[in-house]
Amino acid sequence: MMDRSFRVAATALALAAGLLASAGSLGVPAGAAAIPTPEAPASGQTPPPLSATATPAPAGTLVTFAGQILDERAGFVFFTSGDGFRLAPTVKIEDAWNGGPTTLQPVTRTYARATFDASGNVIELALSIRKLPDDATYDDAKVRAVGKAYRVALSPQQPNPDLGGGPGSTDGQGGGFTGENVRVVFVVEVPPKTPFGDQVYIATDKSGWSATAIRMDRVDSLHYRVSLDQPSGAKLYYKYTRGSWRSAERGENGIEGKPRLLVVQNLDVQTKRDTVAEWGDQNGNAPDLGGGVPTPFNPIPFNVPPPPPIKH
Amino acid sequence: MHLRYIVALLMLVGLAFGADMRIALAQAQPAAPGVGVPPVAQTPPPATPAPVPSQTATPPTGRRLAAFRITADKIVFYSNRFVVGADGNVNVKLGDGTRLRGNTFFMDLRLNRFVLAGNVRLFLNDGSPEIDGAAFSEYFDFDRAYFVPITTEPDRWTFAAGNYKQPYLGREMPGDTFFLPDLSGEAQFLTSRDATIDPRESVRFAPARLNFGLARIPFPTYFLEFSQNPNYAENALSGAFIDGPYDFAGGRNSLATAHIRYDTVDKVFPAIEAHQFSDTSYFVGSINPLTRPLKQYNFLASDRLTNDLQVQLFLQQTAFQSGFGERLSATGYATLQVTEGLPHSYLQFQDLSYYDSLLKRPQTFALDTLTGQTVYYNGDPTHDWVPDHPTDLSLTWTGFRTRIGDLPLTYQLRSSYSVSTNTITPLTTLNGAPIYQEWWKTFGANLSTKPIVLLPDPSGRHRDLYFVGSFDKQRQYFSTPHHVDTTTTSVSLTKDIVPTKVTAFVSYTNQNIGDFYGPQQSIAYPYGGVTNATYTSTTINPITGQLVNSVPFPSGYSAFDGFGTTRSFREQLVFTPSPSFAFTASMRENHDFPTPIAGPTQVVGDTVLFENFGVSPYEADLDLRFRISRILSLDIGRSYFFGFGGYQRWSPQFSVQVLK
Repeated sequence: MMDRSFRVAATALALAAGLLASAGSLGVPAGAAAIPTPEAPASGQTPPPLSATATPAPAGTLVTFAGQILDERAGFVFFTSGDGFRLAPTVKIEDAWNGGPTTLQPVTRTYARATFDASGNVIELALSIRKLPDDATYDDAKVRAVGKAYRVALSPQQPNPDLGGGPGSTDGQGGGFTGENVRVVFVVEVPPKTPFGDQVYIATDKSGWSATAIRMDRVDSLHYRVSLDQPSGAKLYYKYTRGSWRSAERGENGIEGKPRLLVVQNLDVQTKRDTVAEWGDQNGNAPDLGGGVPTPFNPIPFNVPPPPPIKH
Repeated sequence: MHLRYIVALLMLVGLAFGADMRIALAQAQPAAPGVGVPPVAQTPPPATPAPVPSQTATPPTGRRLAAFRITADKIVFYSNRFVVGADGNVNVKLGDGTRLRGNTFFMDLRLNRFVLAGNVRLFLNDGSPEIDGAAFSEYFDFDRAYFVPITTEPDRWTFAAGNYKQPYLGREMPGDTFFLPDLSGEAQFLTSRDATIDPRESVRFAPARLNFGLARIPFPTYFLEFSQNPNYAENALSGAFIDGPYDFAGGRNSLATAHIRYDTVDKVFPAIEAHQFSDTSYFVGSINPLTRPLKQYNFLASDRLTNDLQVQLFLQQTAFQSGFGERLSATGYATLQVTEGLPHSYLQFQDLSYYDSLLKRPQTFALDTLTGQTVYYNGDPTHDWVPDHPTDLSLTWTGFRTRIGDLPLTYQLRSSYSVSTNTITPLTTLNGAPIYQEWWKTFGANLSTKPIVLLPDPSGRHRDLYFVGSFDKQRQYFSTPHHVDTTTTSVSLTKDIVPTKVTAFVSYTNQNIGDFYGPQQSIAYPYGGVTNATYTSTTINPITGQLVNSVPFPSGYSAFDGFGTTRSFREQLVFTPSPSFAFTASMRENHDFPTPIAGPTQVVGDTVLFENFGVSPYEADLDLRFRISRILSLDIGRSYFFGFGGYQRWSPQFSVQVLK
């Protein structure tokens, strides 16, 4: 009977998973795009921070600059790099893929390749709803150099002392984080009295502080491990639990502490090692609290009901 | 076949409900006054006098960390990415009264910053002329705002700490200041036209259309709490088989949640829970279930008064009442825990109190034909009145775990002083004499190793064999003439077969407990050697501690005279080929004395009890976890118990979690 019900449940689960898979992770109806978003690049990953590529100009030749448009306004076109370029009065708007006419407009989120003349005016704007391939592989410095050379700005560029505290900072202050996904590996050492059969979880502010949201894998009898993907620059607050907030970690002094903080750095993989000093349901001589004749078969001699099970 | 589709549909709905969807019960917020959509500039804007740049930085004030409001033609919450997007006539009103208008808005709630792009106009809160621009980006954590204005020509301004009068002109900006996230293909969790975002705390969409996959269902509001403060997640509800919470109201320090729950006894029923919390305290109250006569009122409170002092209180009343009328029975349970940190150790006081009845003595009574005693009751005799009030008090000292020199060894010491008291029913009897109060002292020590490499991997691939051991000894002296010794020894071996992917683990635990009464041993444990006996009066089984009456004595325990041994052997294999997939197989084998006795299952409230004495000798577990998407994970577990009389076999576990 149980096996049969399990098979039914498994079948239902498979169907549900299939429905989910066919409709997106939360089942988006077809054609339900609320915000018209340009098509994703194949990788679907976060674009680089400076979403523009450039072809440096040999002397006297045209220069191109590709990126995503922020705005086109007052005779200027702005890219997500923050750079604004002056449009030539006779700027040509065309399809980025075939060079022909296009119905696209240079509006927010459209991808574009700007072609400059020698005076720095944009004489051609090739548009696309898809991210344009890089013209070549150039480092950020060259891209910035081109942007700097042709962009229009009333004020000369000034250094920004705020940016010094970016990557490497432990409080998340400062800029310079790319926002790209980083694999964060948490490794935690638990108290030796952690029961062998228990599970260890990590609860985070990004998972609604659910005490069972992210289960960790055993490394040995004292260590557990889990990998999460987080964007660099993200501040992740977290605590370790054994499946409920009653069994959440406590400080060495037996007191609930503030959540731990991790600032995700610009790394491929970031490893965080922690140690749990006490569990909330094991601090002190908790096993003694049951009653006056404590034997293994007499845990609660007075019929005192145990604390209610907690839902997390 | 149809049944399967119906089940699948129900599961989908269940998924959505289990997704912590916060269905809106609160009223929609009225539109904020003063947020209008200015006419779109058709011609290049008039030149605005360029503000004079500051010479010194204004220190961040954090004043704009207050909640701010967005209205737009369409607002979308992409729960997978934790991003709020808005398009068309976007209006933003910041906490300091500054208003912004633009075409497109994105906010990454994790990074706590937003960008507004396209046709941007900045309205200062002091009535200064508005400023047009191409994009505006707010970094809340940094307390900086970056703006690309268009005066006579484009420029780059940086506002520090909300000082819009004195921007830093031309200051270099972070490289991704105006980055627009690519959300194509991302599922839309909900759509709305009005959202209020409290940075690092919460977001409220009012109204909201939640995407259930097959349909978008409108709700007056949807509230999502994502605070860095875990105290809002504390809960005071007892467990249920299925729980669907709906946060319908809340703020920076409060949260109100309605729950739709299911368990095998009460079936589908509602419950309610309310939170008040700060960085150092929380107060949580709940009523569960709301619509069944047997209700549980829970209250949980905690306050970290200083870094070294914490007080926690839990109160519970279980009442039988129709609606919220007169209670026919009411029991109470209270725990108070005070923890004080000391140098290298801490003290903890704990009070456990149980009230068999919180009601005054009823007028109605009956004679118990079995015991001959008068039984007072409300309503009918099933709601009998018992004035017992058992209490446990203890004061515990625990030392910090300390490493022994440079050795891979640590130790931890502990001791406590405790007392148990009851008023009516004796705690136990010794030689026929009832005992209503007992004191005892406890001393314990734990010695553990750090992971020690027993066999290093000669290949250098970190496939070493690790050993971890632990030895724990405890003695308790009681006011009645006996003492209890508890000795627990455990060892484990771990080996990475394929580093970070396949890990094998074995452990062995041996626990000996002896209750030493000396010459009175046979008096304290009079059932040794007795078989097929039956309790004939209401008493407490000294072995199990259970209140028994006319219950056949468990003959398998006849050999028990105060001394027991538990030996548990566990093997486990963990397979984690990727972060999104994990498979665990484990096996447990117990050899215990006295021999365990299996019993039938019993459902009490929403809890399934196994009337077992001891644990089943064998248990096999399989567990499969699979992360379907960034927010959806599947966990299927299956446990099989055998060699236990056939009473307890399968213990299926199944859960689908939706992470926010």
